Amino acid sequence: MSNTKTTRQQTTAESKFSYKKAYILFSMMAFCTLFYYFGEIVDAAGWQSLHLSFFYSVHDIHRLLFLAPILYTAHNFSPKAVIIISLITAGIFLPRALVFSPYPDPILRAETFAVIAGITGYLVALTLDKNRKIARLERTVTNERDRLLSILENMSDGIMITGPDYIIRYVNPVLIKEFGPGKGSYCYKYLHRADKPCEGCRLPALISGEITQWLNRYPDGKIFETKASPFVDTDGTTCQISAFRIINTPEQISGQKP
Amino acid sequence: MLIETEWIIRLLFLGLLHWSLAGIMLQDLAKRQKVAGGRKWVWAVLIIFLTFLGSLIYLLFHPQVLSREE
Repeated sequence: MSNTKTTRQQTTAESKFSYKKAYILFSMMAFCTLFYYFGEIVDAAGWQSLHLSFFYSVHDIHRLLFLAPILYTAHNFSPKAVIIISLITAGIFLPRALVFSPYPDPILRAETFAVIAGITGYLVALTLDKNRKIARLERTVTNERDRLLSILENMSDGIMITGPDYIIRYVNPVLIKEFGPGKGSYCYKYLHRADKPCEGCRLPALISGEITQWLNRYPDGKIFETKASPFVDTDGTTCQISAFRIINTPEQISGQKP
Repeated sequence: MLIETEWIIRLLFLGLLHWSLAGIMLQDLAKRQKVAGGRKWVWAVLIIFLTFLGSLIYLLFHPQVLSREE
């Protein structure tokens, strides 16, 4: 089971992989390498007209160009990819450090740069990775909330979500049909046309974790069975989610009307 | 023939670099279901024995090594 899961995860990651970005990265590395060894290439090819002193000076500045592919990797790929590119960069510096460079401590200078650039790129990649994970989690939470809301929209019972401040955050179409639009209103005003919270209101107890049910009788004769429980909204606020169901028949209602 | 200390350090450093990169590529090779050319053992030999270049060639043919793990 775990092998299947690993394979599926690997397939998903590979299917999202951008080959275009990978080959842009390889092109950047190739260009930086050519730039780094340009003096040696000119000497080998005998192109005297391109013999510029800049390409024969100490290469501390030339190495800085490798920051571009390392940071590009940090932005577009994983922290592991930054380590790979940094190792490759360290390897690219080695021939010049071992063979060509006439300056003192060539290995130390070259590899110190590779290590520092690698650490910088790794930290950038970690930060970006964390931000992407947070964004993905936020999207998941929003999608789950939208899914819940679409279920609530299609229920045959009336559904209402009330915040701890008595303000209605959501009413579904069944309740809108019964009482009208109510989002943003006070629940006591919306349901009972009252100016203050109902006596014996269960909202405070519900917010603290109780699940309860009761009957609501209305002047038009309708009796609603109300079941309510705590509900944590996407902003982390504990609210009340109530389900309203008419328990008396239309005939009973018309008989009971004043 | 005595090898100078400086060259020993250079060889050790080169070895460290080669095996670090080879280790990452071999780990990816082990996890991978399909490889270019179809033969995993060929890639393993290339990565281990072709110092540094083997890993680079593997990376060129399998750039998915760089992908984020979901």
